[in-house]
Amino acid sequence: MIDLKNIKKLTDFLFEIPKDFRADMRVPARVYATDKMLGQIADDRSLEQLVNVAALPGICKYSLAMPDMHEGYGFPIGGVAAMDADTGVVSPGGVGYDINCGVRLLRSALFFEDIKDLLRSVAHQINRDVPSGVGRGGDLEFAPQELDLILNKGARRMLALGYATKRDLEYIEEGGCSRWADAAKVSDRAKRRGHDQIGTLGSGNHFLEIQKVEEIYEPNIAAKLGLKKDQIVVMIHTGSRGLGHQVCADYVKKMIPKLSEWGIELNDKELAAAPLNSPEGKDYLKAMAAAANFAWANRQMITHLIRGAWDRILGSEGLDTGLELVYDVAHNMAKIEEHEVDGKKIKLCVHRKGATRAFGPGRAELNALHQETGQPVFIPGTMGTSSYLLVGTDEAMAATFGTVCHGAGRRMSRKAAKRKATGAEVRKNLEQMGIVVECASSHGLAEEAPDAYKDVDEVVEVVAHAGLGQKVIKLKPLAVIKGG
Amino acid sequence: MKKYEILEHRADLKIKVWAKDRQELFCNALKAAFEAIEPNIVGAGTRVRKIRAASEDENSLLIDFLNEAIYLSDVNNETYIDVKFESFARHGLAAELVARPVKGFKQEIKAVTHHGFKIEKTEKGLEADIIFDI
Repeated sequence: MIDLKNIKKLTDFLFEIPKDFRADMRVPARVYATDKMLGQIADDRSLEQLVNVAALPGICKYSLAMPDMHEGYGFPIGGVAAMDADTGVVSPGGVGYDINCGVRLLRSALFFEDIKDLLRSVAHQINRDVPSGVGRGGDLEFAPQELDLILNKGARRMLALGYATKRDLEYIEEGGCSRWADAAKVSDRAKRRGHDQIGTLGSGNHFLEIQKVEEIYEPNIAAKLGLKKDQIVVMIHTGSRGLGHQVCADYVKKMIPKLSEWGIELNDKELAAAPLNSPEGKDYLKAMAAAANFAWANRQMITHLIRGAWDRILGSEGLDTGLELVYDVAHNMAKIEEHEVDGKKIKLCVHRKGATRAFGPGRAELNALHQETGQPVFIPGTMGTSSYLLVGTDEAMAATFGTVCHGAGRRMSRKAAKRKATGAEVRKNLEQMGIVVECASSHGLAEEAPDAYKDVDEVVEVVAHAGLGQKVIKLKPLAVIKGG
Repeated sequence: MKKYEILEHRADLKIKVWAKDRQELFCNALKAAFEAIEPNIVGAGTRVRKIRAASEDENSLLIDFLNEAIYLSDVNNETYIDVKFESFARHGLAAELVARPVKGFKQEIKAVTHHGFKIEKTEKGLEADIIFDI
């Protein structure tokens, strides 16, 4: 544990562990939080993990943590590290096992009044149509050749297969297809785990939610994103399933024996990293990008299944059943990006583990609309609390390599959450709040109870006050669909 | 002797395992991992699943063994209730897992991590701390 007296307060929302705190630190470690949140963060080993990240080769400016930070393995969750693309390293543990876990938001043409009596039916239909739960595969299985095409082309391949529209692709980070991807760098074992998992939600904190626009903070931006008060939207949170887990495990195992050859000393083997210019580093980036494409294809297939459920229930009532993408953004990734450091533009490998890219207006990577508004970012709360849509800012580009938080962040262990309330109690509380719950697992509900997480409103306020993201709308959950 | 205990961890699954020797440690760790995620076992029968693991260092072998079992479980839809070692060396092993078919688990292990991993000698044998990403 790191004593708070070693932490310098830079502003009301930013703290720093100086570079001289530990001899092996190459840069300081910075945390976005309030005084109160920092006290909670210091309760676990996340600050120590952030200091370990600050000791990695090639790290630039500082290691960073977002206000939803909590203890992970290797990197803390909410951790960000930008490595010099020429002299730095890439760390699979800095991305995590769920590569390109991310969030997608779909906007409907309907409002709360249109759907309130049909909410339970449509949530039930979505639960029936989108496979969820541990290890559960979907109805679709992809042969090896087809899976390779998906790994190389991501959501673009889903367009060719009839599961996406051209417009969908314009509203996904990177167009839903990382150009770095190479299916040949993904092991057969990973492919075997993933061949039947496209279009499946998984378990744990992954979810689908039907929400309504509760509050609008920036009417002009909301209007440009096609969002109005009381409008119904659907949020999807999932990632690359077993395929991504295996890619990470494979490359951690490949890198550990070579660390001494590369002269890399680590405080935690889970930070295993390879020089970006080594064959292993290059191969990992290609495999990680392929797993990211798999995740985009997964969220695309889930979108297709939700559109079917939406049509089945709401179309029969004569309602407009359109569901269009607002955006799809990753929060477990490493990417080669250009950023300005000390007045010079340089290429960096930006690791975001439980942190979301949030590019400000004007960035070439964004589509024309988002170049105007800033990149949309989704911050999911919990089953019983609000979620937020923010847009990235110029301040985020300067201070955090264009990054904000990814959610509320856990504050309670799963064991503690289960001690506090049973699944039945959590379900009852949510239903009393008017939230429809479609989840077969009481166990899963108890572990993901709203109380197990930090206050998402406070987390988002830190990001907004620090100028890293501009709040656009607040979303209220109406129906939650989860695996076990 | 107690075989294992699930410890508090903010986000992941942390297990402490005890055993009299390395083979028993591997066996108890396997049982701990698959009991902790609560398999939904279907049917009464068991089957045998061959497993091999190899590592550059002695301690990582336990992680690699468990990661291999998680992979096998995921692709074969089964849980493991025991292990019979055919060969067991410092850097490699071959074994037969006793498997039971499942229809899912209550929890998902993504992978076994090296974070905070340790095997220590005690008066009664060995103990290990293992963190699983869930």
